[in-house]
Amino acid sequence: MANRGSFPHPVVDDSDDVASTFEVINIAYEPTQEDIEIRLTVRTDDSDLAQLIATGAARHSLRWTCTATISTDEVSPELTGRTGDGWILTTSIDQQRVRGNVDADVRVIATESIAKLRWTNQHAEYGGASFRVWPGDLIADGGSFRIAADKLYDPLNPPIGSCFKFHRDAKLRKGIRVNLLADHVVVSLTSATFDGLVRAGDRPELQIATVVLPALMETISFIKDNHADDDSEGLDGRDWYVAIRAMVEEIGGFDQSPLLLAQRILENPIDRVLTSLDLDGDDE
Amino acid sequence: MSGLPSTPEARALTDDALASLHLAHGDATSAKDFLALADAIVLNPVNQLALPDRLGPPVAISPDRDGVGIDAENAPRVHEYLGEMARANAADPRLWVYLAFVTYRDYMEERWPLGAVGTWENRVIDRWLLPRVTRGSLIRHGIARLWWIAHLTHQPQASPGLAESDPHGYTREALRTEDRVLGIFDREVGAMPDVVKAVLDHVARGDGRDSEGHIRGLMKELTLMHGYRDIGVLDADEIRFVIEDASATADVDVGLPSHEQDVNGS
Repeated sequence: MANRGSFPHPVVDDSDDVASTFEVINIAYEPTQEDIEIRLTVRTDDSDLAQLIATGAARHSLRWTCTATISTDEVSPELTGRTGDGWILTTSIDQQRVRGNVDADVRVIATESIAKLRWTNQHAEYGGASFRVWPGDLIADGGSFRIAADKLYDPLNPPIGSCFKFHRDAKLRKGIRVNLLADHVVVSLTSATFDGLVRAGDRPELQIATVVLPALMETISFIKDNHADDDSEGLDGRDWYVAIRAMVEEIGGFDQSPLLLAQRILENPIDRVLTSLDLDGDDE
Repeated sequence: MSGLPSTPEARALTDDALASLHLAHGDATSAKDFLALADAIVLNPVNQLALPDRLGPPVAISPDRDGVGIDAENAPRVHEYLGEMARANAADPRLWVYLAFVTYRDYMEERWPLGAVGTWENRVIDRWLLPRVTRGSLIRHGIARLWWIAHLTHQPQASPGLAESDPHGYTREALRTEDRVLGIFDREVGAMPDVVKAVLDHVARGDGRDSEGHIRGLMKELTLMHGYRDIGVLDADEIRFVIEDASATADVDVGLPSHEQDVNGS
């Protein structure tokens, strides 16, 4: 932990206070748009420590700190597996709470007062001494590791794709429909068309040209009509409106045709798709 | 004074604009020169980003001392104007730098003037720009500090203590002096709202507990204690006990009359 000083009682760590080990290995983390998922293994050869955890007198703990967001929190990681001498633990950190580097300390803390803690393997200089331990006291310290909280989403400059959600509508018979009443622009497709869109996943420019482009045109038309109608409901609270409005304003404003604006925002997907097609055997 | 409209609404700067401001800081030969260069950057619409929510113009803030603390009223106003934000977004320098140079420019020129100090370059770094986002830089930046301290101390629902009738009661107590702000919030334990509020409740009792020396010593003791005991997992009563215990030790360390009687429950 930052500013770690001396402990008032012996702790199982990489010092010689207790002739046992407490290690953190196999640390893995994966950022998603919502969370940073963390998985790690902790192991020890100290039977006293294992017993304290087993009885609930102590528990695994991870404290993370992010100085850039003046945030810190302590979590009790979920036990998702056991190894011969250790525990596989998982936890997650909300992306909304962190930015940049996050430092995580892995340890075991007391959950209750322990009147007389005495480690079997404590250093000989402690003799037979026992120690009073209070709730929250560290009794094992696995050190710290650092996570880079990369952001997949910038709310001040969101990617156009984040505005749209695609819905497989079993009741739709043909064509696509666009719903602009929700927090996202919901594009409904027939079951077969939706499945085809999924199969075209390795051709994103094809997906954009065939579905996103017309949906974006429809959205821009809707916004223009909304702006022109004083009685219509304000759209300011909708994320898709804020993002698309910003993009349109950046390229000159709404006094241009929806077709022109949508193509510019999406970087001319029709041109890109058709000029890249290999008609002799490409698009099966 | 720049040719800005009065209290323009909040926006943000682009990353390129931020980089340009830093270059201007390096190139400028005087504070006046720097602000002229800066205005050319921040006022260019190409360098601005709209916020996800339109906020309209804010209530103006003023650095006039009101007997409580220079910013005791300003912090709640900034917090109410911007509203609650996800901390990841509230750590975005693009927002705070725009607010300092544009939206709250009048306040910044009075509260953190550049022409009146010998090393204007350092003041620009500490109070106007946000070259690196850290706990220390956020609580020093002229505008970010107001929102962040209010955010960390805001109590929306009434509770015993400083927030019994004022959701920003803890904010106002925290902002009594600049030393107090740095002493409390520029430490890891200052990021724990329950600990901060308990410290402020303790400090508000006065009788020497509100001296800067006592506060400094108390926070140092809490930081040392947090090295071997995670005080963030303690409940409210346990935190209060820890603070009284640390308070007694802190007074001894800094040579102040002891508050030891508080440890014994009186």
